[in-house]
Amino acid sequence: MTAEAVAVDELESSRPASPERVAGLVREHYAFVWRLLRRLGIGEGDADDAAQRVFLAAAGRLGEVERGRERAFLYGVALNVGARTRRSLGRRREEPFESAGEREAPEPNGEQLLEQRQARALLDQLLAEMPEDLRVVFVLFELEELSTPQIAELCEIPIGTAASRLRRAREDFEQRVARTEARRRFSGAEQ
Amino acid sequence: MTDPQRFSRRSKGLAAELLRAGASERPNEQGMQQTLLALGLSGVVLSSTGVAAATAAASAPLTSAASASAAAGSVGLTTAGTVKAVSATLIIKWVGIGVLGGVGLAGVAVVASPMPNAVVPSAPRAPEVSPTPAAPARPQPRTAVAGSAAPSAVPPVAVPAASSALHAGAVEARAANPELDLGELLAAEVAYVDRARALLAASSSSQGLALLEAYERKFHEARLLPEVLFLQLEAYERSGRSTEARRIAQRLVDTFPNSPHVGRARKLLDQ
Repeated sequence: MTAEAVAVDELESSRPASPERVAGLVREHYAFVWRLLRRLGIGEGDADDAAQRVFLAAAGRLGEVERGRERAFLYGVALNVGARTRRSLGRRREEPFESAGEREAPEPNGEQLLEQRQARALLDQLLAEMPEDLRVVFVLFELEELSTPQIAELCEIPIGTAASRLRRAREDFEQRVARTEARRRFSGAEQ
Repeated sequence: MTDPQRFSRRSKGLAAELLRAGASERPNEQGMQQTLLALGLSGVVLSSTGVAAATAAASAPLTSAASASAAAGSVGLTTAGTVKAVSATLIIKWVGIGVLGGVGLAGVAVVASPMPNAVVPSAPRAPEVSPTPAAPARPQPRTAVAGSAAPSAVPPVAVPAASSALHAGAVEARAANPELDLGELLAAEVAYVDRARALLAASSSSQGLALLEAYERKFHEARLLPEVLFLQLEAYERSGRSTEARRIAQRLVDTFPNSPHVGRARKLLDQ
């Protein structure tokens, strides 16, 4: 079943929330969902589509979601849509310059932009290599700046598990970064 | 429980740099607006800024007709009771009979008087809403889209039937909901092509090409198609993909024989 089909199912089996609440949901959480999808491996060109699927699916069930729990709810939908999108895209491997954000918002000078794009591409590459359970926790902590208890709540796991995953994720990431730096030094020394 | 210090807070180091770059990435406003449109919430958005809710019918995006209509139904319209919802419902009725109230900023008064007419395709590159498109229209309407587009337009604003949506799968959605906020969607289309062009110019040709190749899936009205084909042609030529370049050139010549871009295409085909 495609992500769209899931969204349709979810919409059709839902009870509606007020338009104002749905609009508020989009405005408040769009960036969170979009960035989460990006860091979970959805390329820039697909992130808008995927984010839209998340909100289409979520809007239909928002009426059932307790106020204050919207982000946790969206997170679950985003993980689901993200996984399906990745599968439907055949886990297209992103290349440097392809995955990096070319967003319209802050446009620094050319050099900074290039550096940012390269950094994001490398970040995505490293994240893509991490085990999924660690990556999610890592992204929520390091990029979305959630606390461990918040992550535990969002992921519906015990706090101890969240803390443990975070510790392992940070070690994993640091090792990957260290290897990258070593490779860079090596290739720099060769030249 | 005390959380560890985040890597991004470190003053230096590659990990900190990478994470800061990742955290600073933001979606563009357009994506959010498209999502609101898809949800049938443009009326809410517009009315909150004092603008008429002419586009409340949400044709934008993505999923199937069923999902789009379900989104509008379950989200935007079943919660009547507010002026916004009522006006959205009225607009949906108009949309249901294929009438397009292409009212941008003019407001509610214009929405009330849609007039069915023959389709007046917009000029390929006109980003603004033009009453009488002066540029030559495309000679061949794109049938795949025409089927889904409402065969009507409102003379004062010459709104093309359905809009371009930013998202794949929009054909089905728009078949059911040809209503749109033309200004927004045209702007989205222009921005999309500009972005592709910028990427091509910045040597990110694979990403630029990917955007161009996805263009017709995302914008089913494809008002900028001649330009997109031309950009594709150039990009393929530059990257040595002559077969694709010729294929695009042939399509450009066949489909848009009067386009100013055709000269280059003919030259390539004559080689």
